[in-house]
Amino acid sequence: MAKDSKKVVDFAAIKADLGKDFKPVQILDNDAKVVNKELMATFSDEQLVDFMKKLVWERALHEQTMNFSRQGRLGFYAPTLGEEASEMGTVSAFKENDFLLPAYRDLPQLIQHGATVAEGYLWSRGHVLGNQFKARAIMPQIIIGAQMVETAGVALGLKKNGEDAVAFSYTGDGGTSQGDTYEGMNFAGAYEAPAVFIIQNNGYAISVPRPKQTAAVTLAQKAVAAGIPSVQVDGMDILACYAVAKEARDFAAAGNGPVMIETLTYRFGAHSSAGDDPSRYRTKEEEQPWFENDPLIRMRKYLTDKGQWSQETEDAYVEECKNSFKDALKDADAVAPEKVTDMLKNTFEVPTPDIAKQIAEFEEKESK
Amino acid sequence: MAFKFTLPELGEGMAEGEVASWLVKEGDTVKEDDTIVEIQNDKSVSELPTPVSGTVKKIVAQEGDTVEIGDTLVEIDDGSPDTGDDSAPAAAKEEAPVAETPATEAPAATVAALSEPNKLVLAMPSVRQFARDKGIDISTVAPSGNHGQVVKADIENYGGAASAPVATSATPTAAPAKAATQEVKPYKSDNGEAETREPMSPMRKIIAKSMRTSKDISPHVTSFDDVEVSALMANRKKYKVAAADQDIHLTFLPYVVKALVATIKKYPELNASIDDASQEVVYKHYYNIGIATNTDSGLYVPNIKDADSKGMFAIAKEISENSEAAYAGKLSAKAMSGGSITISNVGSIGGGWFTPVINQPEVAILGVGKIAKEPYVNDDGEIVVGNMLKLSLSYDHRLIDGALAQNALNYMKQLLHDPAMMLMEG
Repeated sequence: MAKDSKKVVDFAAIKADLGKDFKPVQILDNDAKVVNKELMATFSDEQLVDFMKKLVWERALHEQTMNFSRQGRLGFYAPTLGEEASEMGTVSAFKENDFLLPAYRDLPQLIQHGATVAEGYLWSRGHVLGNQFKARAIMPQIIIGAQMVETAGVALGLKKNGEDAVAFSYTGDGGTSQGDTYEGMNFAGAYEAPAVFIIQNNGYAISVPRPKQTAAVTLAQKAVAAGIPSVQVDGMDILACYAVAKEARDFAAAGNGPVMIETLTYRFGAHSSAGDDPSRYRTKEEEQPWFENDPLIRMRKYLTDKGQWSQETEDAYVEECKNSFKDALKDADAVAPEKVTDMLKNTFEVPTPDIAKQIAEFEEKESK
Repeated sequence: MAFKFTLPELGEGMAEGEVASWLVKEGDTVKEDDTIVEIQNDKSVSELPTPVSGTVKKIVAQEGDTVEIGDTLVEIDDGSPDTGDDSAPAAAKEEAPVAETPATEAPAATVAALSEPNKLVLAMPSVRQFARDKGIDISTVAPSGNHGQVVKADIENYGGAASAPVATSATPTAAPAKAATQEVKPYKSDNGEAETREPMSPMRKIIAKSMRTSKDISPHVTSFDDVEVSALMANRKKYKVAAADQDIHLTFLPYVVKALVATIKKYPELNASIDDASQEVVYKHYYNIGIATNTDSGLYVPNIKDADSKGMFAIAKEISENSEAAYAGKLSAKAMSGGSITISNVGSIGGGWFTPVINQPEVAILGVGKIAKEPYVNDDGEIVVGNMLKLSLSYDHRLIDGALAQNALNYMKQLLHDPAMMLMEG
């Protein structure tokens, strides 16, 4: 017996193999070279320019909104610099009647999906009207991963109603460590609910780097345990993000159950407008290659080479976008501030005795 | 009327921030979204863009000031006519927090803290550290921040409270806000019976303050060097008698003064001051050489006015006169102001190299040590007994680079090594 050194199970080999099947999907690489001609051929010039404009729009939204935030004109805002392809590419693949469950870094997708910028700004200020947009979506979730469970529920509802629609949701690399993410995927998988879970792996959960987040070499492999298919995609390639999300949407809408997508992207700046300092938890050497991998660079180069884009076009569009955001802020400013009684009255349709007492109390204060 | 740009809440739980630097000055034209100021808070430095376009009318919070959320940073004339509206909301805002913290609550909290060490105190880590550094029990500080937060200003203003442990040893003068920003740590000892305490003399307090201020203002660097001065010693020996005939005591110091004048003429950065307010370098076209003079009552720095136009004997005479006046406590303020650069001489009492502290607002000080007999390789390559004068030049590294300082020292060494050169250049 003792001389038999053969292992019953080669755990080391199993461990080494975990996640190795995932190869990120890419269409246009960082040098603006087409690496997947077949998929590239599915895009018209018009579509490509539209994608470029969405990237520029989100970057401008980030810049202008961060300015508003530092000027004290807005509340909380989660910077999106660097994640434009991941966000715009995926959201563009969904239809108007699909149900979006965003996290706090996903205001740009919420706006693309039908909310107004002014509503986004009201949400940032904590105003209740910021939650009452026309888009088929819930307000951005602040609790990490909580929207993943909700997504499973919404998706199941869509299925029960027999709608041609899917629920789609976003969280980050940190969100995958929450039990909710697994629970949501597991539940949706068990009921074959039409859900698309999008994990934006931007490298950091506030200050926790991705390698310290989990021992898993990919986040995509976390779907395996829930029995749902998953894929990694170059999160700096808007075309790949779109193509993958579209495929996922079609798969889920056809009644095949949920899909999980991991986009490989990078948060260029701080976690939030609340002022953390990335230089305290990562190095310039680490950041630089990502900055050079900016999602706008490859699209700009590709379209400029094709004669479909120019710096002047971009500058003018940035200006146009920023002016529209300034107008949106004015619209938000024009909304009367919420009163304590508004909040209390919104809590229950029929106020409880306690709340009724508080409403009376605050109505008296507010009338002064 | 001007738009008032107030400090926004830049971080979660942030109650205040420090103005790190202004990127604009009064009178500048700014465009909406231009970055105008950098604010340092606990977590990071944030660049703040202006919300309006216009002209910077008044910078209200200066660099280094700690400002609370809602405090005005700058007034920008954006041409808006809303004078009345402008001040009204500000006043209303100020009222609100006062109402939220009832005056009755604060003293109650102070009393409760004594019997309740586990009391929940809301304060940022930096504020807690600040309180510890000052030896103040933070649970006894009445909070003035939002939601009952203790802010830095509360700690600073705490000195007035009766239970302050440092109050007994602190000076009775009510500390103004500026002084309070300096940390005051009590000296504690386990061996008090073997120590005695004496109040600091006013002069000692002034020295302590000016030394500390100088080190705070100027990043000091000191270059050390030595120079062979046999020729200088021979020269002095020769003319000492002639000087004595005129009742003048000729020391080495006048030579150093002369050499220094020639040096700062050649390197005008050494004869300058920095105007921090305007970010300008002020070059002086006069040569008033200060001589640090140690007396029983303290250190004085009278200066030789217009040393460039005075002969060696006149300088020697003035040094003696100033020294006597210093000992007699009869130096005028004028004799001690308007200096170019200072000489601190410890050589006469046997000192060597040291690191003198700049006499503000000057930007350099020359430390002169003893002349020591040391092996010296002369021009012929022979080892001889040299007379080595020790020089230490401390300079304000903001203005003076190391190479410049060394070049200046090299030049001065030439003059001191060969006093005849001073006739040429001095």
